[in-house]
Amino acid sequence: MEVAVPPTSRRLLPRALPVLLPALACAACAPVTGQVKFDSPASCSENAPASPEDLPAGPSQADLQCALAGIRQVVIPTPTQDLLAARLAGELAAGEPDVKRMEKLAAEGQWWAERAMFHLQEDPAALYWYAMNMGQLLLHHPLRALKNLGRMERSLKKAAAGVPDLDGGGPLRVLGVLYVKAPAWPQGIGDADKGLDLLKQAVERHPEHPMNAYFLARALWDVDGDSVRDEVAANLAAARKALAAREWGWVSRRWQRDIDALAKEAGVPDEAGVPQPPDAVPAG
Amino acid sequence: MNRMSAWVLVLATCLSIPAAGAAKTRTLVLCYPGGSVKSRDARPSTQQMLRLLEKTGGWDANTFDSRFTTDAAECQKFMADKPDFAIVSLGYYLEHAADGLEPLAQPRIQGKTTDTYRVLVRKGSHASLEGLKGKTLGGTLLSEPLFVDRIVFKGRAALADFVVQPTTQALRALRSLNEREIESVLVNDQQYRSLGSLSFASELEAIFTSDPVPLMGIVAVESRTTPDERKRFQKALTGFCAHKEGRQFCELFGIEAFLPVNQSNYDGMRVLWK
Repeated sequence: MEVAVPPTSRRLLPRALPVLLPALACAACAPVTGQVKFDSPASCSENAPASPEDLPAGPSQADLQCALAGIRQVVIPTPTQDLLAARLAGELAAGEPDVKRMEKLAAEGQWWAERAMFHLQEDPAALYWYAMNMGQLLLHHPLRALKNLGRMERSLKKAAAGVPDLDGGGPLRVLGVLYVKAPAWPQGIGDADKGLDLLKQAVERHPEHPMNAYFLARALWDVDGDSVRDEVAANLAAARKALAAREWGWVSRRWQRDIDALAKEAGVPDEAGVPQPPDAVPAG
Repeated sequence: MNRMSAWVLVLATCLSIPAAGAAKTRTLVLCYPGGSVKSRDARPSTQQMLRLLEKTGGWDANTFDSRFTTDAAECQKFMADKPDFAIVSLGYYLEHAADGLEPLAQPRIQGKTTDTYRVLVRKGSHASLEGLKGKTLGGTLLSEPLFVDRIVFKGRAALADFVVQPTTQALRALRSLNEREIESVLVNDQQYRSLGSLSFASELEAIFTSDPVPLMGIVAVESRTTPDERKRFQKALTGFCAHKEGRQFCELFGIEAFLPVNQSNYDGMRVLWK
């Protein structure tokens, strides 16, 4: 889908200028460059979604693309649309196999989150989507990632305090993963026990979200290995159950792959109960 | 990640190969016994730094590759494959120095090229190392018993005298100490100096402090490298932290510089090892 300002929007622009002016003062609101273009699905609605409720349950990749493309065309998106666009771009990035496209989507998601923060100040939801997109943007840039760990931690702590239930316990889940993965004390902010605790909280509050149990299993395996294999297996089983319980849309295939890969790595039973041989340790 | 893991990642970049031989893939082994970093997590950092070195040093991209492990047994296996260069622990180097390992450079951190080890206990619980024998000793630095016995304790005690509870999580060990689950923890200098960030730091005290131990750095495998390669490598390494992009890595890990070393820097340690 080629994104262009529609003629109706051009006509509306002069009238919208007084409303636009405050937005022009927003330093973070300079147009994002290098947006990912989507192949136009014929079924895209002409109306941009106004809120998350306008999205179908378990949105497909095309649903997410349509919604994001729709918001891109809005002359003055509402803060709710800013937030939604940040989430849409983040979710599209999460399932995107092409690294360059993934990074462009994550950068766009971060930009939308910054817009939302300009209007909503330290809105915890905006901080969550900001950190989520930043995490994806830095996935393949370890040096930059290390430099930004403190910023991500601050954003996620505020999100976890303000909206712990957003995205199925997302702030707790992502902050937990951050503490497990970050360079450990005293070199960095990493704290495996704090991370495991947050992931357990996420599972308790939102057992319905498959990634809570998956990331708890992943953290347990990475931190304590063989000694907690049964716990890893139980959490992987819970993740599979949650994944199968409803339609998760675009990201579900990647989640399934992640769950299967960890099951194989840890040598725990797959869905049919067949034990998987542990993976050989990969060369560093 | 402790001091060693930090500069292990930086050192990983500092391979120097003559341009004429660039077509040959060279291997750097990174051994980090007792570390908490997974090889798959270390790889992006090491690869990024290797690529940086290739770029800044004018070598072909992907000339270098690395193998990373936190497992002492796996380190032995990787080293048996004879890499070109390696980052190994001082314990490994002392055990295998006769196998043709030549030390090339070591990091300087906070003005020092040495580490100091301490045994921490809860204040007032034990007065001396001798009094701790038979009790629990935890920490991240217990995966090389000979090193601890000969270099850290200098024969005053042996790990076998304690109920050893190794972990890859320094914080976990210290919390266990504070919560009376274990009786003592062996820490390095960086861990000791960072205790102030913990709420219970004032509850702990050191009852043993080792003599300064030289930091180990990168070694060349003599049978796999020429004297010229080793010299060039050493030069690239010692200039790394002064380079614009290399400096970012060094600053991030608190490394001021890499200094050239040779066998003689470890003579004192070799005497203790015998």
